[in-house]
Amino acid sequence: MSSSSSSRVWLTGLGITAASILAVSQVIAHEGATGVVKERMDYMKTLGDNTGAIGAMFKGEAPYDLQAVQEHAGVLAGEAPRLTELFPEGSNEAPSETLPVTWEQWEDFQAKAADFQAASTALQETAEAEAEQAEVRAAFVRMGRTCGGCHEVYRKPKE
Amino acid sequence: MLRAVLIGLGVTALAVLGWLVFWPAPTVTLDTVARGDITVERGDYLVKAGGCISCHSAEEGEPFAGGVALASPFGTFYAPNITPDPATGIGGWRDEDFVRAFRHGVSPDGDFYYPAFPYDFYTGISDTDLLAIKAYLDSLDPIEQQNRPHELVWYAGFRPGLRLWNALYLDAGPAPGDRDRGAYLVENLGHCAACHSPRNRLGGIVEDRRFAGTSNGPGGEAVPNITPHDDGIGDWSAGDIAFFLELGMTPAGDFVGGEMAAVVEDNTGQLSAEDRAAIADYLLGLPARPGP
Repeated sequence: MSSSSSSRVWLTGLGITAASILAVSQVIAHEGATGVVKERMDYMKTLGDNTGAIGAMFKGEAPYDLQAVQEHAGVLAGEAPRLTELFPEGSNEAPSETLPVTWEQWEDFQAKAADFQAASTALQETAEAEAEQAEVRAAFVRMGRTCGGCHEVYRKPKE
Repeated sequence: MLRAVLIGLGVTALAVLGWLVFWPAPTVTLDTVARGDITVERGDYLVKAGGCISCHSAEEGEPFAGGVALASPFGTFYAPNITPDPATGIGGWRDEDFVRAFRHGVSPDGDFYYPAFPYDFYTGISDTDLLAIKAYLDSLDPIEQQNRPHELVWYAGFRPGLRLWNALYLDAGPAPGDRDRGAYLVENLGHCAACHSPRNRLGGIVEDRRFAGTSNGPGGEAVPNITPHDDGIGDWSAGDIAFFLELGMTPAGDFVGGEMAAVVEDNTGQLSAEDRAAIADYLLGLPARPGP
């Protein structure tokens, strides 16, 4: 085993440990969720795990690895199309964090979900095209803005 | 004896009332300002750092034409039009009018502003930067849109009473020229503590809880603790904070919502990487406070 592959194994282990710590804290926040509310909280956690992993590289907490970015971006782009399906009307029992205005402004919500879908696909394409790191970063920032743009209006503020 | 005391109290009350109503409002002079640094580009950047657009633009309205409703325990304030329209905006303002508004919270007519306009933070901004902000606002298209009057509880309607508020809470600036960049961005331009701190019954910031968050922020929403305490951002690195300010992502990979999402998009996300790093360093140097 070369030293670079052993450091990769070590980093992967570190990543798994970090992910499981994150998972534990997320489980606490999502405790008691059932049905579609649980399903969409798990879905959002999947998105967060993947954005978090890409973000860690741009923050310099993990080495920049284009192949890993491609994989995470692939998950995001692959998951994006089903986002609105996870918000059937009235599915808002505790501990759901969705604001009721979501269903009052359903068309706008759908438009914002479509923005996320387009931006995550663009990120995946940029990464697959092996663009410069700065371009991949810019595509990631643009995608992140679509996440925040939707949370701004449709999610309860965190305590 | 009783009569003498009552007369004394009456005279004192009249004197205070006279001071509140008739004493001239503070003024400013701008003779020594270096004019070379006053550019529209500088002002554009400072307006982003100052977050002006967040309150001075209604959701479906023209940017900077006002209209946002700010609900508070004192009633609802409506942010005014700050485009250069001469009739409904700030088109007719002199430089001195503009600087006085920020430095002392006083309108060109000599009326006191309510601290819903966070002049108690902006007072620290330098004359040069204030005039650059004015240059930028003057460069916008004038929008004719009448200001909506505030809807306040009865006791808040007496504007001269704000002189007392200023005596208690306004530390008139400007900040010293060598102020740390992070402090200038957080404490003055960004006025972060305006939302991220609890306020007392008079609407003053509770100083020993500054930046420790509040369960009753603007619009009654909870606002998080941004001090380096376990209740706040104690486990965030400077890189985490800078990255959050750029695109709203928390260390857990979540993206912030609510008012802060707009702040990231319109304000902190538009700043230079150096300025975001300066904000991060300043926040990490704050006293760690529990709460909210």
